[in-house]
Amino acid sequence: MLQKKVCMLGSFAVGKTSLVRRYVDSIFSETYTTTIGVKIDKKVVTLADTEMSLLLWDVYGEDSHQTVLPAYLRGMAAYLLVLDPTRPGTYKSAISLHNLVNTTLGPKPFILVNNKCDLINEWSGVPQELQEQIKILQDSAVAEMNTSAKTNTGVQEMFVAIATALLPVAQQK
Amino acid sequence: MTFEAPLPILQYLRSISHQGTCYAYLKLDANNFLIESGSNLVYFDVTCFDSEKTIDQQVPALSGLLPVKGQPVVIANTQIDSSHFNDLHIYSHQSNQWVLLLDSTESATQLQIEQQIRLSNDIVNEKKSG
Repeated sequence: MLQKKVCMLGSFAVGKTSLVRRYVDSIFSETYTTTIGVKIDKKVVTLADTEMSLLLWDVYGEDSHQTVLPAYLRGMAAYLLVLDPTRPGTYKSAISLHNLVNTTLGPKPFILVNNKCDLINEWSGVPQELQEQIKILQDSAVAEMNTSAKTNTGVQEMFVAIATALLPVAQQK
Repeated sequence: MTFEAPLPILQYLRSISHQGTCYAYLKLDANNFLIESGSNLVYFDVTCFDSEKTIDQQVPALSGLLPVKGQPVVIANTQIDSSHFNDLHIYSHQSNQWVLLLDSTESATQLQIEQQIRLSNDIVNEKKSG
């Protein structure tokens, strides 16, 4: 069976852990619990005619005191770049993490994830000064998806989409 | 039961000042097959090994990390189950690779408490500043 490491990357408190918990354990908690280091989960995803084992690395979020260390990215096949559009500061983290991946590993497939779409009325929009860089992210992503771990919107679709992007080209449909 | 770890493990432990910490180790060949393992493997839940498979096929946390050549790879505070944090060290020695698991539960739990307070305050401040 194919086995692929997929990292959850993003600023702190954007919902990376909640997305993994929703997908792996089918649970959601309103309580925010910070991630230390990395939590590793395994989930087998069934695609059209094949199975893939996703190793989900839920990496601690970037904040003003810490950046993600390149060692956590080692062996990563793809990543989910998670934003909380209700918090403008999370766009800047997404850009810096995308640049870290490119510098450390070179380009890897990723999905730009606008999480917390249950709060879409509170989304702030991309800060003016970051619009050009976010456009580059959007153009280089496999897809841009809206998700909500709370309402279970788009979560399974997001993980299936990144797994599909990791299939050999001949198997992608 | 007394246990004497191999010299490379003891030397490495000394170099990172982790004497007294609960640990387990795996010795691998250059193709990622297990040669030897020891110390507290049960604590880290790495106990069943199939000699026909590479170690990264059996220990998911190692997938993508091997082989290691040159500088050691250190992944701090990995959490595979909800009860333990481990520091994962992988380094090469002669023609072999060593994987060392060190328990970091105590320090990680303390760090989590401190970080939780700090980041919760940051979120409140972000909301205040709009």
